[in-house]
Amino acid sequence: MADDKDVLRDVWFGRIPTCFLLNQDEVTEREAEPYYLLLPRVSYLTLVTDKVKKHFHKVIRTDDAEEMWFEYEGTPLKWHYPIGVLFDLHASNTVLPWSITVHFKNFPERDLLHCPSHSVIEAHFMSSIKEADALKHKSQVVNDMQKKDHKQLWMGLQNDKFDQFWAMNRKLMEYPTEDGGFRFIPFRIYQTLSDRPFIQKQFRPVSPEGHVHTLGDLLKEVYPVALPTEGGPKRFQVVIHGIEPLLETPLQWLSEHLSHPDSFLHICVIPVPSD
Amino acid sequence: MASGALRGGGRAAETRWRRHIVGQLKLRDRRQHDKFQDLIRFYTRLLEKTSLTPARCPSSDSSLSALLHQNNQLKNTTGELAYQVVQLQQQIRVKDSVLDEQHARQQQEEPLLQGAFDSRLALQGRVETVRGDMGALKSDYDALLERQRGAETKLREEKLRGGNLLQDVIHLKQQEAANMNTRNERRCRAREAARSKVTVETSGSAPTSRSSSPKRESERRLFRSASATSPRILSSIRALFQRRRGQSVSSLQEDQLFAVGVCLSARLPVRALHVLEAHEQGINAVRFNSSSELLATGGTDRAVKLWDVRAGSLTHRATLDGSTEGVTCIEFDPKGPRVLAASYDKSALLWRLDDPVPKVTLTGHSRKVTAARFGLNLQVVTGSADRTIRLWDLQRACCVQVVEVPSYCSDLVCTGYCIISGHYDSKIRVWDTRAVRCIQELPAHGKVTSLDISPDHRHLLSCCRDDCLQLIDLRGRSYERVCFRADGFKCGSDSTKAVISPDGCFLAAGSADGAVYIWNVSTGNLETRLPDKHSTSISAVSWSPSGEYVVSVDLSRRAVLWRDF
Amino acid sequence: MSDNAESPTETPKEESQPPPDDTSTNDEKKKIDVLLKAVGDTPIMKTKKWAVERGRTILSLSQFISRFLKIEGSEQLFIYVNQSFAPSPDQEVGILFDCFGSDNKLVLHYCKSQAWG
Repeated sequence: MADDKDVLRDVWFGRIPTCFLLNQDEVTEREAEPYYLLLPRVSYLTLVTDKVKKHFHKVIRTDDAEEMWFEYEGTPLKWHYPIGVLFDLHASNTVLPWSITVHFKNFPERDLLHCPSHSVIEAHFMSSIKEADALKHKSQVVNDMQKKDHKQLWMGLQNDKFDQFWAMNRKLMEYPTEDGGFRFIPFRIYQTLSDRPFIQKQFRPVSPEGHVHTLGDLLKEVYPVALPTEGGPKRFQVVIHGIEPLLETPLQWLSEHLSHPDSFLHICVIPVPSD
Repeated sequence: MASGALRGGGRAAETRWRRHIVGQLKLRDRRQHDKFQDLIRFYTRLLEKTSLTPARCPSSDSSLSALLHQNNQLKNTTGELAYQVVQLQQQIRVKDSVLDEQHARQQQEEPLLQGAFDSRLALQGRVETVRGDMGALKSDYDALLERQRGAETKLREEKLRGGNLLQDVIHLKQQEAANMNTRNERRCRAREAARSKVTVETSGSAPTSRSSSPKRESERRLFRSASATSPRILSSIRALFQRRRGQSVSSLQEDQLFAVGVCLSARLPVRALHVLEAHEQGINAVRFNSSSELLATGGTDRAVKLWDVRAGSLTHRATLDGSTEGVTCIEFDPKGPRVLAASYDKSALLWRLDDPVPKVTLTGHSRKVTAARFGLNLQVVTGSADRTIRLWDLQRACCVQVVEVPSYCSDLVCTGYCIISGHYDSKIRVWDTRAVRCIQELPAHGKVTSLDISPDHRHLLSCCRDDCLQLIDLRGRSYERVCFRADGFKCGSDSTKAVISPDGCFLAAGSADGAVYIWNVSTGNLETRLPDKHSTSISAVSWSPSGEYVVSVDLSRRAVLWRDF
Repeated sequence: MSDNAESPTETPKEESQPPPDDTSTNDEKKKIDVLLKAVGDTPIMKTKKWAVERGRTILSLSQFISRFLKIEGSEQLFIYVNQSFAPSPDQEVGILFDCFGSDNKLVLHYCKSQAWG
């Protein structure tokens, strides 16, 4: 379906304008210019910020530089969450570009995972895919793949090759027609109200009675707070890839089209801006 | 990838959430992506440039003067470049004008080129047509060439034929000239004879007609003078007849008349005047010449000997060599001093009397030549054991005609256009030389050994192996025959030769018993027998045209001269 | 921090922490059974089945195991779910239990070297 293919492309090529600013506390030889990037929503911070690191390395004493980490308005940004999720969760409804403060000192061990190399990102990425496939197909599809197929998925993401990635990802999105969808929908619901990382449960795309589950059905089941109360004002936005899909949208379709490359449908529930 | 189950709901509802998502995504990208894309790109580029600048700054600070100098240099360079630009622009103008000029010229040339192109096309067309014409002409020329070749071939053939015809004409002219010469000679002799006749008439003794009385007269008178005067008388008589017949020059008639004119009485020989061993081997042939003064003999010893007949004896005059085998037949040329002989060596030979080397040798027969006679028009006729009769042209010394005959030809005689031949198949045949065919076949009583024709050509004598002489009357084509036999007469060989006396009254033949037998024609009886002089079979006899002598020759080399006293 | 000798289940350290006033506090407090299995040459634990608070992360569980087995700090420890994937270190076991638990327990494999992809 042409529209669906366009949706996939739009999801893949979603970008967030970002301004990287060096943390004021960093010792520099001279004033550091900000660095601007259009960050891919579906990628990971540490995977696309080599230029940022290089840029700021020019002005700091390199022997002082430790592992680079990012912070937005006091919140350390977890690199192992997709960039789009970080933005939607923390910076929706703010003035663009997204200003991220770059740190080279005082790594917040409690909040962040270390990321010494891209292979760590790859391992995390592949684990996510495997976890998702465990939910979707009891790991059958991903286990049937060869090592090079896994590599193709990773290289597609790393090099921003839409066609290369989807040539393989297509298999992960298949399901028996008679089932009407995956075994379980791999999803994660993020919220700003709680310290808990996210909600993840078993949820089928089709009800035992044969009804197609919608986004609303999912929220009603696992996170009813997010839904607007009858007659009351809308308190939360349910954001996926920077947009608010209608609650009537079928969950299976969302899983197939609005999932991140790691196969998870990342859903952010954020409060409606007060103004 | 959306399954049918998912789209199971209302289509409108389905497209709503989908449209919503697509629209929201577009809106999101416009807000977050499109607005910032260029800005961030420019900023990044700017950042890269500024990041380069600090590296250069310190050096420029250090020497402002150097920079000023550099600036001046650059200004100079700029000036130079500007000047170059001006120059180049000028050049461009020049080039442009040249180009314009060339364009103009090109435009001028183009119609010319077009014209030239058209004319080239026209010329090409003409070339084609001319080529076609040339092809046609070439074929015509070829045809003409072929005709010329044919014509040349025909010309060559015609030339060849012309040459042949010319040769024939020359030959004919020569023959004609020869005939003319002969006639002239004859006329001369006639005139001479006329003169001598005058002398004879003055003596009042010359016979003028063929009456019996002058015959008897001349019997007495010529008896003494014949040897000396008879040729002259002969000539005078001939001239007389010529004159009587006017200006006629028919040679055949003349010859016949001439022969008729020889009206001499032959006298019976009685005594042998001279007996001699004439050759080293057997003698086959003997003959007097027309004047009876000369005798020729031919023998197995290959020689032809000439003897002067004088005062009752034979004196050897000359020997004619040339034959490589024995001589079978001899004849004197009645028109000249020549003698003809036939030979066992398959040829016939002709000598002049004064030259012992043969003047002409006629070769062509495949077996021995048995007879050689003078015919008409300087021709020689030969008969051979090879069953052919050949006619020879003495002028060219070549055979002009071959007549195939059924049998061995033993002898032949010529009379006018006829040849009469005798054969071993007991036949005598008469041939017409003009038609080349046998016009008459006469029977004989055995192998014909010889033929003789009377001087007046009215009678033919044949001798056969059945010991019989046969006289045939040639007049009126009746061919009446009379046989002559005699007791004791025996034909001794296949070539025994018998003769008629010059006056036609007697027949003479030699017998195997060595005697000469003489018959009287009018009575048919044996007139006389001359024995004892020959010891072997007589092969031939000859009666002198004067009637005076008879010569007999035998196979034992002996020749005997007989006379009546 | 004190270990309950009678019970093979781990005594959660967070026990002393004040419960959040969120409604989900009960859920977080509630313990789940986790079965720990060694892979390859990794030392096995005498006690396999542990009662673990839902809110504990994989990282803390991994640290617990390392301490329990006295594995050197420098050595890594990998934990796998369903013998298939390695959950993120900040992943809560409660979630894993919800998603991948069976027979009322969550089976986790641990080893000192990478075992599954």
